[in-house]
Amino acid sequence: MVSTKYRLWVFTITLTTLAILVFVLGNYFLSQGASSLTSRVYEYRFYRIFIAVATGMILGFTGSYMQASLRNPLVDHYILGVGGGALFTVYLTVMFLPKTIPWIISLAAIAGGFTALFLTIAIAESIGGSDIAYVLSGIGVSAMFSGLSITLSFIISTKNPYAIHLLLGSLITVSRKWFPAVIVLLAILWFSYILLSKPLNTLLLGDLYSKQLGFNPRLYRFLAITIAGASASITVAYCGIIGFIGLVSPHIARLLLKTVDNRFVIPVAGLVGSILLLLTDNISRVYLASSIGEVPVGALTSAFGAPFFLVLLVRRFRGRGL
Amino acid sequence: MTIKAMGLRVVYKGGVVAVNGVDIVFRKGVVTGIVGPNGAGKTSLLKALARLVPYQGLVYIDGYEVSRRPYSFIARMLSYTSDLDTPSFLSYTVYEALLLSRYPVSRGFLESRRDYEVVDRIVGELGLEKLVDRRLNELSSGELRRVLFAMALAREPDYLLLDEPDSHLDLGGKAEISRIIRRYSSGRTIVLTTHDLLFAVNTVDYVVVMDSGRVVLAGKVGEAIVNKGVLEKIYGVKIEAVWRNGRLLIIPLYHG
Amino acid sequence: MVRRISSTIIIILALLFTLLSSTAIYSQDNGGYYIVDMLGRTVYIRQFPSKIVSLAPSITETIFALGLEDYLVGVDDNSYNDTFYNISVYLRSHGVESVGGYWWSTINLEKILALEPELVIADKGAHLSLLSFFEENNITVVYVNGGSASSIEDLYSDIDLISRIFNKTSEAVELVSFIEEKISSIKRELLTYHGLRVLVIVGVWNGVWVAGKATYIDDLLSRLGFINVATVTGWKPVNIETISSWNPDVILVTTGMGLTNATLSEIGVYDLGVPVILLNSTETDLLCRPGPLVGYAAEAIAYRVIETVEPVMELPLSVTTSTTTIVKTHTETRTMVETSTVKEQYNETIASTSGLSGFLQVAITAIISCLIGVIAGYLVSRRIR
Repeated sequence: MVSTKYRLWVFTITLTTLAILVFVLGNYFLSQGASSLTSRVYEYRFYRIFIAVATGMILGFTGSYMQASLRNPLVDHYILGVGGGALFTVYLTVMFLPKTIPWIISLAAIAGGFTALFLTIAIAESIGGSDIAYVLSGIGVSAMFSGLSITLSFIISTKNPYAIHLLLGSLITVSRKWFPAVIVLLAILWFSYILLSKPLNTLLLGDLYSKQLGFNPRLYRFLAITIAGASASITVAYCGIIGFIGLVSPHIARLLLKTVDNRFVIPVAGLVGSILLLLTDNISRVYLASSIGEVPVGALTSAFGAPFFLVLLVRRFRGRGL
Repeated sequence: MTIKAMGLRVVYKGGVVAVNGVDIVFRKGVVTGIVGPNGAGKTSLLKALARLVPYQGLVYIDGYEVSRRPYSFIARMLSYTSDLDTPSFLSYTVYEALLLSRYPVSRGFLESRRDYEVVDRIVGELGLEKLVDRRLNELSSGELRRVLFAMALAREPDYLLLDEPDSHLDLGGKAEISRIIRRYSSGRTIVLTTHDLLFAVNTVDYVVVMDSGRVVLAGKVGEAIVNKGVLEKIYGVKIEAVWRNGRLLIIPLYHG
Repeated sequence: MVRRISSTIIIILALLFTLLSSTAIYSQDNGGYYIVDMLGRTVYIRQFPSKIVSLAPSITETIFALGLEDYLVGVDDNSYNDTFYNISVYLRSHGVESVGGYWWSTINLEKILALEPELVIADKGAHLSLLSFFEENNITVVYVNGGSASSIEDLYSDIDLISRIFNKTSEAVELVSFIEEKISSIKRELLTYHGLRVLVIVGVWNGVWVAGKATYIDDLLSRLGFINVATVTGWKPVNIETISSWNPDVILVTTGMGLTNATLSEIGVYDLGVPVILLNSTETDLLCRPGPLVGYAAEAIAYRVIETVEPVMELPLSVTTSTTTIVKTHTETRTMVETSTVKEQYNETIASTSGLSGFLQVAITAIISCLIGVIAGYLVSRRIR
């Protein structure tokens, strides 16, 4: 039997791995030709590492929340269309806004993200509400918003060359203005995790069981989706769509912990998300920068994440447990 | 320790009246079975008692009027058991499900030693040792029913509401569940619904017969059920009632 | 009750701490002057910068033309291999490094930081997205028109801007007048081609990219007496039908970016029945760099046109251009904020911490915020019980 102690160990080891990675990547991988490690290089590099760790953690959390509240292990903010919707409204705002004001762009992103989410859920429920229905509906909504976003991006790129990179998700363009928002998001996520993880656990047994265990399923579902949707939308606002981290991290967490219990899955998924994004961003930043040029990290996560997702789909269809 | 319902009505969306004015009392230490044809309102009545569906009228549990109370309050007192609605690919182990069933009474973020003690005890009492690490979606229906009952017991409630605890079970399974229910009946109030008259008659002390949302017959098993005229009318089937070895057997005669 | 108040206070304090830790304090400056660059930014420059990074070949060539190459510590990759002015040889022998590029997404930002430049000169079209990077990392950057130059005048303004940073204005004036003279003399040689309908194709990618109105190539063509048939504005992609409707007399094509005969014939350029001049790589470099060699670009175009196409006019007209007039109006144009010793309060926020400590500050803030979130969650959940 898998005990709580084992799970706490997994948590600790994951946390330590993350810490080691941060240290190693910060110091060891000197970029090509930097002859002296000046403090400015450190500064730039570590800020980039921070934002990668923080964003990965946010995505891990939001993916877990979405999967737990929708009882659907095939979703994350990208697949549900939240990312696409958020990006679209971010583009609209950037077109009219003279400079970057984080909170305005965040509000716009949240508006777009929730609109898309609402659409996805409505369509999915109308075609049966199964987990596959959600994936199909989400991808449709996402495609629609992506198409609109790409059209807008041509208009925007004259004004703001960041545009295309936001579409693919990139950590190159994140300015320090966003750091307060990110830190607040992290605090909110950890706060809500304590309050929501047990209720989310009960959701897995069905609404009826949730109620008879003493939790109002609609309330907790609403809270989890709202917090996850808003957080994911804000990440889109500052770094574009980085897909699949939210999808993959909870799965890896569940595999490592051998449980579905959200009290363990959510934080470990957060840590796994940090590690994944840190690694991917590092590959993009250090290795590819010298040959191809920095590939937007969202492109890399799609490249690695999409096959994983396909494997999940196949296993789901074959009826094996996830 | 009673559950009392007064003027209970359950009306679903679309105007379907499932329970049409029921006054009833369930007493401590008594196992009550609610029987009746399909659509009689058995399950809706049970759900209303646990405040799982909206209802009109009054429900008192332990003297508390429950419509204003939060779910958590009710959850500490009673447990409601029915078929699970789990996705097939994400599932708890039996042990985890048992611990989860203790959420209403388990303080704190992680489980306490008492939680583990109670769950271990129930596992022993119900003979679930071999099933403890199996996932819920891997169990046979008989095993699952035992586990669901164990989950109902896990928080040591005073009231057990069991919706068709014998469904999906073969004869042996039904007998086993019947024995288990009787074993835990002392000191508790148990209300169950069932389609199987024989199961009801062998398991419960009191019987409540419903038809079209109303209670048409209620009383101790020995006395009430013998009024087979009522039963024949609502089921539309000829019934033979036979006493054998001090037990009452209800035998439906399908072909006249 | 007490516990509830204190936990709320803790949460509020934590959030405040978080927000404040991301802001900045002032720092002072000492002796320098101000320049307004081509983005309209007022840039403060400390004395004469002795460590410069150039991010475009046109800028590098200007630096060499003005004799400022000693101050270079870093250049973009295209400059690094530039053969004009013997640039590539000089850079290698003087230990000047390449920072990648020239397009912004292939620039190694860390390398720029490591070189600790006192000034970066960037192209406002190609490097605009790096502006916030420069600002946040406290790097003085001046933007020139570069590829966004809409006329040869803009090009001259770039040369003028760079020269004023280093007080080489007289050299700049010489350079500009030299270029002007060259263009004028070439125009005189092209009198029989006055009014020739020309189109310049700069690339094929999702359409045929042409030099439209308000590009410096457009201006160059006009100064040579040609007519730029492209009616679009700026660098725009068009399709072959549009080109056909424009009815050019000759089409010039820059090579590079894999633009070959095969591609062109695939697109249908050869089917137009118009003479097509494929500029070789040297000619392409000359034409595509909005820098001091634009005079030679004019020369190159002229010779290729003459050898390919028949003249359009019979009688030469006598046209006089006054080169001195051109140069004088140019130096009088821009009214910039001149070198000033008056210190102004500079309201740019600069991070006060450096290196590791800045990161630790942010990281610790984040960790503490998370912990506070957890503790707050725990306290609230106990209350809800």
